[in-house]
Amino acid sequence: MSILTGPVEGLFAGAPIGVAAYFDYLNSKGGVNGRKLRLDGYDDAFSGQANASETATAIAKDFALVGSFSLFDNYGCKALAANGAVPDVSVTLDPGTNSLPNDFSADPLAQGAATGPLQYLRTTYPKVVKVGSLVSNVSTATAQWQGEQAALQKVGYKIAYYRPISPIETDFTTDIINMRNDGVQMVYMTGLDWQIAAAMVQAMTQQNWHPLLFSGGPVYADQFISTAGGPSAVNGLWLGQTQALYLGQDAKTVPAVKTFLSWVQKAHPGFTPDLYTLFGWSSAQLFAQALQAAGKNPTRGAVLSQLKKIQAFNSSGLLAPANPAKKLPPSCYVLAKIVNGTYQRVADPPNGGFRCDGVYWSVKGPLPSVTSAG
Amino acid sequence: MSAFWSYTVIGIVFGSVYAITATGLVVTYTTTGVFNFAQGAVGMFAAFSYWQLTVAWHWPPLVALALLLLVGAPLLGAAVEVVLMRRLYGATADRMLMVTLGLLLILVGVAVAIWGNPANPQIVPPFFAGHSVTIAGVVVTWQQLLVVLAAAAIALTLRVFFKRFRAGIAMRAVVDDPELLALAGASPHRIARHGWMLGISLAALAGILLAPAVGSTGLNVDTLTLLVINGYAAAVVGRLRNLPLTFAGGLALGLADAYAIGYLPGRLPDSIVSQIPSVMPIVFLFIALLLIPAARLVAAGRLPVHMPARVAGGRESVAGAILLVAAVAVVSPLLNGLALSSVSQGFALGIVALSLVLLTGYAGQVSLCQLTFLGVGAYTMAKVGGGGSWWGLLAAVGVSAAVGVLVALPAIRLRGLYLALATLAFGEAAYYAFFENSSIFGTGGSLPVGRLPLPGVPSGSVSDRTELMMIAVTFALCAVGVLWLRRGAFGRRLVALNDSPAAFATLGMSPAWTKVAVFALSAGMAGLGGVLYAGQQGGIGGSDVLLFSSLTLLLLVSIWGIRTASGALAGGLSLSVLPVAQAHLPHALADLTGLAAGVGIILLARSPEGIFGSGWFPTRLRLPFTTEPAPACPAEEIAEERVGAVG
Repeated sequence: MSILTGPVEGLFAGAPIGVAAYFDYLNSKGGVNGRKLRLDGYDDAFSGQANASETATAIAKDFALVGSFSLFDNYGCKALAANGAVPDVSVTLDPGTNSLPNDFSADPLAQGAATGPLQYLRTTYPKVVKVGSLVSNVSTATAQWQGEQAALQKVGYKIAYYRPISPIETDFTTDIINMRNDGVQMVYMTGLDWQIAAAMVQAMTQQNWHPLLFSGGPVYADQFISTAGGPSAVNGLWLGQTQALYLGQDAKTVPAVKTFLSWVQKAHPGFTPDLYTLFGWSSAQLFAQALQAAGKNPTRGAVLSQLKKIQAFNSSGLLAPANPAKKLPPSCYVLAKIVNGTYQRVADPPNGGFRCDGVYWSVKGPLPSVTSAG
Repeated sequence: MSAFWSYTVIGIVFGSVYAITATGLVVTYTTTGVFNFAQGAVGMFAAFSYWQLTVAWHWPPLVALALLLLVGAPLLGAAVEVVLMRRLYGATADRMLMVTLGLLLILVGVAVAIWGNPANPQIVPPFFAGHSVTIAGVVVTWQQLLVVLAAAAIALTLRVFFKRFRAGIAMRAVVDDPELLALAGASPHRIARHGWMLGISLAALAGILLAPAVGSTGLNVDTLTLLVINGYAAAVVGRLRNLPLTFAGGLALGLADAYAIGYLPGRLPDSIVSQIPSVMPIVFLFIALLLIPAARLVAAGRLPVHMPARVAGGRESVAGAILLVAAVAVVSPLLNGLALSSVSQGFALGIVALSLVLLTGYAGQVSLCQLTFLGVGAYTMAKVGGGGSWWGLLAAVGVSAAVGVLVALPAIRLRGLYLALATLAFGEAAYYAFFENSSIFGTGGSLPVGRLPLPGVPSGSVSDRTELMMIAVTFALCAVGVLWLRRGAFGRRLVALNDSPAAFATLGMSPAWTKVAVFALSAGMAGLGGVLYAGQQGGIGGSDVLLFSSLTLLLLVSIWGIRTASGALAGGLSLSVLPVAQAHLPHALADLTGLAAGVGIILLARSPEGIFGSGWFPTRLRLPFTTEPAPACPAEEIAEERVGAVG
């Protein structure tokens, strides 16, 4: 279930492509316990009504829901809650869906941020204290910001400027002038999509203002660097994200990146993968892992039982390890930086992979850490 | 103090964007008498075309500009006049308004088909890239200066043209009195055509000039199309006629925007601060409509001269309602899943459409925010009695009606175009400030709404099929009620109000009271529809009350027959079912609903009764270029109706 048509056409088209790609990959190896996996795609067309009814249809027709990504999960949530025996293995933005006992996510929802990357920057740039941020005024982003703010303050930053912005805004010159006047030293760009982050960088460049830039992941996109104004505008931007550099930079060190990219191209030639594609792929992998363990004649109940046992999952290194069974988000991360117009890992741990030197700080404080995929 | 001057510079740059879009609106209105709701869509289309030529096909910018501004846009303007507007000569203002809304939806639908869902952002590079100046500590690019200068130059040049030059005066005259102009030896059609060519060219120029700034990270169909709404306020400040005042209005709006963003963060709650850029132009528009003396709000248009649709008698309407419910009972077992829920939603939207029959069909009050009342009703249901109770239903109808009164009170003196603008402003303000407000609608962006409990069946246990039956019965009851109202004294008052507000007032009846009453009734009914709509899908959120959906519902109901209950049902079902069909069609029909509404309203522009209200409908279908028959009662036509002072 995803948003494929409607006012913003193809908004989350990457999600079903990621699922289809993983199923194709798995089927090419003989499937799961000799069974081939088949994907039925559902489109809620940016409508709560369609999400609710299509979810009900999928529950009636299909074995499980896998790799859904929509802004309307809260409508389908009712049908999922009423059918607790149906596994839903999807990354969700809806707290209600996230809390269902039959919902399992490769990247569980939590309102907060990993403190590791913030602590690293705090140590590397000790004089940088004042932080400014714009956050999209969409409910998930503002809820997330509450936890991120707590994490920033936990490691010693001060929020000097903050404004929630409307998704239709295109000019941020006033904010840039305000941040400059307020002495902001670091701009934190996490609760935004990459287009708005690019527009912010454009405005900073135009005003000749060059603070330290940090993003929790949204700016890791193929088109971000060119759209924001090219390498000179974004060189030095820091990223701390809970995914590997799945667009290709990690292909040599994380074999799953190459597999992911090549199968996405086979499933949908010419498609540029995005975060939703990765979520689709990882969800499909998490589901397949449980299905495999459920035996040759799996039932929904057996798959749910197996999902409840998966306490560490990292999608073969594509994601930082999380705990789907206990719905704990990853606290490990990749630290990266834009250097000469390319995304590059920085300060990797000796054995590669993810840095695990902090905790996940949520609105309720620190969560138990998940530091390995077992 | 230095911050103040910085904000002032930013405000002037912002304001010029508003001014340049508003100027195009005013020019089109001045030269054609039509408020072109498609102005933003034309600009959007020009911006995408410019990108296609210069970026995708690597044409030199000057060649592309010349082709689009000197050939493409004038040709489109001429085509709009010849194919669409000439056929509307003598039509009421609301028909012209709907045709421009239809043109908007067609342009959006075509643009989505051609340029929607791109693999890479479609970015138009700025003019004079790399050049800038620093003013009051703010770096201003030459591109931004170009917009400021262009906005000022267009306003002043055209002001002189319309006041001093014979051709400009003739363009204004063709709006005021085309017959008199023809007597003087001029061709009203030719002059009107030139007016449209000028207006559309200005819209295209605005779109191309603004594209690098508004689409700096990629052009977007909706953003560019809706950008012009921000210009409505400036255009109304200029009373749709005065270009320098319009320019000043644009600047004032831009300055207010910049000062608000500059000074208010941290001083007001986040939920308010985040909505300032979205809501400011809308609030500005609402205030402008309220503050400008009524006598100055003069809209061109004509009185309706059509024969109204026949109204079904009491027994006939009851029999029709019973037949409808019986038909639903027979068909519903055949429906499942999305088909079942879509039909249920269609009936619920049909109730909202019935509210339009009362308000727009009978009383002639155009509302562009009917889905806002749907949302208010559903929200109230969510908050009262646990989200699915009969008390909640009563409260929802009551609160929706009360909000309808709140909208009606300031709009009492408005009619036609200005009323439409006021309702649009209200709907947009409610959308951004209320329905998109996470402090009200929570983290999920929507609130759960339960279904009405039935005897022996609690709210949470009402099945989809039972729900469909209940919504269908409610629709049937509402339809019988609306027809009963129409046959009675109140219905005759509404039709009289629609026919001639001046005569209505002369006869000693109160247009004000009647408007408030019909707004309250209509909003209450839309709220009832909202309760059932939200209960069916399980919740309500911002995506259910989008402006485009309100516009599309109005057009679809107009196409089927806005003075008939059957038209309301067909309109509601169309809005619900077409998007489902769209998911199974090729990419070129990605905006099937909008395209269908746009094309339909244009084909039926001369038939205000719509398909179901016109007897054998093919006789009323007028293809472009066909000759119109003479009006039924030419002697009764009134060249221009000064409606602003009425009520």
